[in-house]
Amino acid sequence: MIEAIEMSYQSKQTHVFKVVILGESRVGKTSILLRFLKNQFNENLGTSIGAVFFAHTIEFDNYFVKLDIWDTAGQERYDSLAPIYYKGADAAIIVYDITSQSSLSRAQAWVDQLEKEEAPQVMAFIGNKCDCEPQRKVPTEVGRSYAQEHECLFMETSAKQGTNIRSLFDTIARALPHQQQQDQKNSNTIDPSSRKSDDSGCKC
Amino acid sequence: MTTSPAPQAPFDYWYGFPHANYTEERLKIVSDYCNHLQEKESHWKPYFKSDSEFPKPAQTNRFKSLVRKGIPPKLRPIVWKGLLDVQSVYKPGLYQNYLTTHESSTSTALHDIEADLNRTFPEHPLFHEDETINRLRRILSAYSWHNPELGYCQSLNCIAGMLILVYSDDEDAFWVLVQIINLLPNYHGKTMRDLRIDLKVMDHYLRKHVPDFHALLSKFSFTAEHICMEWFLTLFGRDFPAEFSFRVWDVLFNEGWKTLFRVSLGICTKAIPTLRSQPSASPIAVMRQFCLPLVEIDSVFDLGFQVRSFSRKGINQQRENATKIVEQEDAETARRR
Repeated sequence: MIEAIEMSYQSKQTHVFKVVILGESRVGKTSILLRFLKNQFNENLGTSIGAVFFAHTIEFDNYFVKLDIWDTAGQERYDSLAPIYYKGADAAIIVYDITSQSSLSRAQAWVDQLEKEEAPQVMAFIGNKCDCEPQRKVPTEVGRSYAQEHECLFMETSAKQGTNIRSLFDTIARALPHQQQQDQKNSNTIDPSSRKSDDSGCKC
Repeated sequence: MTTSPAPQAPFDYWYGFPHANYTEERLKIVSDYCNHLQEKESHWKPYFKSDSEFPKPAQTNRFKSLVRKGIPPKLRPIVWKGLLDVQSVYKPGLYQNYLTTHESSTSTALHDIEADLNRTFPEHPLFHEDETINRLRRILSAYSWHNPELGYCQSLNCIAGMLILVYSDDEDAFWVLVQIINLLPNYHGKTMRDLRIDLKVMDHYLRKHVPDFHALLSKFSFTAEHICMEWFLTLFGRDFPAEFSFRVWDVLFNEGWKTLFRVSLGICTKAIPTLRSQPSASPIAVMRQFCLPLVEIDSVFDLGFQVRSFSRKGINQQRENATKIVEQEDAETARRR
């Protein structure tokens, strides 16, 4: 299916997209990314200050998708800095922690804010830490119906166990429009049909 | 307040940070120049009042240049306290008082601090020890009570963490932290507005003084904001070799916040050939790899401090312009809500 690679070669086209990850502090934004990039999990990663940048290329049959990912700081006072990172983003991953009601409200506030500004073409509404079922505070249905109302992809993930992490980025990469020629400075046409709803709930 | 004697030789110029994957050449640059600095200790002796007292000297060019060449690592704990004039704010017992009075208090700041304790320098073995984590908790909590308007901002954990590596006494580290924050614009405050303003000012100076670097960033739709935010918040305290951070702090504590701009310009200038050699890679990723092992501190300083037309008046003018932009952005955001 897909395979991550370090370098893109010239025979296939490379589409570059900007992705931003938003959500309350400690919901697992960096962990989701680390699981995706290195298939690792670590309880204690360094605090993300401002935002941390990662680039990753995914190979599809006929093309490459390069994701330039900004992993933002979650502390509330950093909210006013977030536009620096989400401005011009093609996709947004908005994360909450299924064991924290407050993180859900925060995630919903991010969706609202993005919708009022230039909303990214693809938004994913993600309930992380689905391995912590006994501590669950947010029912899957609550997250899913909110996501559907707001035309967001929806998944529950576990960065700790790796659940749905590859699928999340794969789905985003596929949902992004890549018909037209792109150069390094990506310029995508808006294609509302590219926003799909995905019902793959947590399987753990 | 007593300052404990500096650790005995051999002095670890890496302050316990892992450095096994540094090239021989880089390891040698650091040990050579730190040894060189130690030999220069005699140049510092005349400025000391006693072994543990270093009153801030007059800003002669001679003294400025001495500091820019680096404070001998063993003298740093005392010299920093002098440069920051810690004595002028120090109140005996206050630090301990914060901790006792608020022993069972809760606050948003404490909650945020708790979340960051185990996320501070996870690559450093000392920060896996309960004792270090407890020190960090005490210093950051006391600061949040000392300055409730600011409370706690992610990134202060890095600054306090670095101070723990230099000061064996928590009270020393606390008062030095107090004076560091006093020295800066209100970058870490609840709205982080001063930071947003200064990052825009930084972008202006980067475009003006290092246009080639700015152009390389622009090609990827990046600005100085993306590159310099972490630098300004942690004071270059993370993702650089510790000795690099501390050399910046030497000058910062002596000359003030303009140092942040100058060092940023120096780093960006020095990085141009590296960025050019990887034209299709993202400049942010390239810069991170460039800074992690950056030990050529003197040449970064030379490049940064040779920049002319960098007056406080000019910066203030730029800040006025940037403030207007930030106000427009805020009005725009408020209008949408």
